[in-house]
Amino acid sequence: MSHCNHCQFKRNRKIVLVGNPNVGKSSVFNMLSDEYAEVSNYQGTTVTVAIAQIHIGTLIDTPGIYSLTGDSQIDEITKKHLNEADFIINVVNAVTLDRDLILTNQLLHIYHNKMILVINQIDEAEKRGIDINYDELSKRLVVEVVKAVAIDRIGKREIFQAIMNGSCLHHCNTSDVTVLLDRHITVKYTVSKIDKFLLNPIFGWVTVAFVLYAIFKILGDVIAGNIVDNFVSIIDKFYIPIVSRFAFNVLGNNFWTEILVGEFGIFTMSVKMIFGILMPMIIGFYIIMSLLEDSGYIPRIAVLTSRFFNFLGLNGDAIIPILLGFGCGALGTISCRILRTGKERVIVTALIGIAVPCAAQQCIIISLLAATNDVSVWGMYIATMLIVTILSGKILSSFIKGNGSDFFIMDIPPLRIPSIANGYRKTKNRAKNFLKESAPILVISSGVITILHKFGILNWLQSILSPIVKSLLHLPQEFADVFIMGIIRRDLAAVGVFDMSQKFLTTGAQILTAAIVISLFVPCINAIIVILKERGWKMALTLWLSTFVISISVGAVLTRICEGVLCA
Amino acid sequence: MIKSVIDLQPGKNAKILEFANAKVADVFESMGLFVGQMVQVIYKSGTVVISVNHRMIAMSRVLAERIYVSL
Ligand SMILES: Nc1nc2c(ncn2[C@@H]2O[C@H](COP(=O)(O)OP(=O)(O)OP(=O)(O)O)[C@@H](O)[C@H]2O)c(=O)[nH]1
Ligand SMILES: [Mg+2]
Repeated sequence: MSHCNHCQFKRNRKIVLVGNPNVGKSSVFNMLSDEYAEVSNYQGTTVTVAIAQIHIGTLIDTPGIYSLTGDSQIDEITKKHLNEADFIINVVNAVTLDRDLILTNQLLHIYHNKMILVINQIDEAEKRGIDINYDELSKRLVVEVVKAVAIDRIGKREIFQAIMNGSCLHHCNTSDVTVLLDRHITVKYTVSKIDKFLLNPIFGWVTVAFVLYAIFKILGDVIAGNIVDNFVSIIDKFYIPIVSRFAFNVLGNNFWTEILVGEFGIFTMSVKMIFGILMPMIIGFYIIMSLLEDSGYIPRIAVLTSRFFNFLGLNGDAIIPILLGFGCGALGTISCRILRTGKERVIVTALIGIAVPCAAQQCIIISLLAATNDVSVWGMYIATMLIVTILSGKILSSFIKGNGSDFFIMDIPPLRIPSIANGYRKTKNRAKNFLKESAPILVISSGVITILHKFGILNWLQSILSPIVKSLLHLPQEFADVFIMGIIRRDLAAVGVFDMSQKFLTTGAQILTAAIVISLFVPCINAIIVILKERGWKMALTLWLSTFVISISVGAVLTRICEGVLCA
Repeated sequence: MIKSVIDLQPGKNAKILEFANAKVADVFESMGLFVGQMVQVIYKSGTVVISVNHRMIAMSRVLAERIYVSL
């Protein structure tokens, strides 16, 4: 097929990548552009579009869809971009061609003269002995077909070439793809031994428990216990004295010096929080997350937990936003788009807001609890969080109108050895985003806190909060600062507790109460903004107020139980 | 004999005969499950996992009950 001049691409052409979930659209996007869209081994990784400028136009990566007739939030997003598309790259997975060509068929009926078909993951297909007659496929579908292995960057040139050719294909008599596929063959599918093990009702759960324990150990002992400790002491010993002396010498002892290098200073407290504590923990956490995501283990957890989620009016799908919420509440909330019903989205958003501590918070909580060296403190922490989760879920699912979902269907991707390159890019990207989002807020808030402190407002707020902190929660007065920081961001509060723990939190009961209160505390500003956008202001406000009340009441009850148990 | 997927013993192959109704058929077909295909049950607990043509699909029991197979 030759290409003609009037079909040349303009720079502002919209080229949209479309296909079934988990076929490798984002991987193709990354191959064709210099941007990075997140790639993970489960369906529903992409929930917002990614856009990149390439030499032949604007490339758009969309969330995966199964058909053009779906009406979920995800489907709507993708269909909107399809409607505006000048050209379509339909990505299919060679291994699941019979499923993926259903969408192709629908697309061909509408976009036949402006699309190409990219058959991705041909490496996997070859490994399984799947033989595909590409020429025949191309001839029958009347569409340019390109083979690709996106993760190895194979097929890039051919895709660009095909886009040039494909844009000139006009007369199309799309044959029905269904005749292309012989569905009556028996394919012997042998399930891997690992899968039999991971999905086994007993061993599966033992594995989940073991994986969780390993994560706690790595985050608590290795990252919090060693790396962070060393970073913090280096910053305390060398960095802070040097910048402080420098600022005093240059600026003298005045208000600005206080703002820059004082107790809550931008170059002292903020720098220590961001680079000494939060960054190492966030990076550690995201490396582990990316191993879980890329291996394909998450869908297996979804299978195991689906029944538990049924009890809360949800199903196995819920595990994906919840796990992402353990990274960042804002991301978890956006990922609720993959849930089928509005009711599920509200319940999961609320659960993430209430009972899912984000990475930064969690790492600090883990190190706090690890420091107590007391198994009963761990046990009580986990039990409390589980009880709060189950109760909130149960209450929400019985009060929110509409149907929950026992309607669970999910493709289980093959297990893969996570690629180091993807893990590195993903973690780097997430750490960068965290820095971009939280650093300005941390800097501003340290300035605000210095000012509040300077004018005695901090003391005044402390005295107002004192009844809650001292009488209700039995915590030292200084914990009030943590509350104030927590309203801005929960991770700030967590760092506050971490700092305090060495000086003020003495008993196991106090540490546990502090850990629970900050775990359940109000969603941070970034998360609230996302909740506002995705679920509306009523939900955002209700959730904010409820988490405030829940965290304090659970803390108050727990502290009394603990004092009884741990001191007995 | 006609039974639902949920009655299959793990490891046994069976051919899909029909889906309970048009709505369910829509769901399954968009996931690439068709009448005439061979399925195998891999795992059966709170959730059912089946395999079809090199893929594994997990579904709730409610859905699995709506796929009829011939034994
Ligand atoms: N073996 C192999 N794996 C691939 C290839 N392309 C992508 N993958 C893997 O397939 C999985 C899914 O890739 P993504 O690019 O996230 O897929 P997607 O279509 O964007 O998925 P959603 O955004 O969830 O719809 C990841 O684990 C990738 O590493 C390929 O060519 N060969
Ligand atoms: Mg994607």
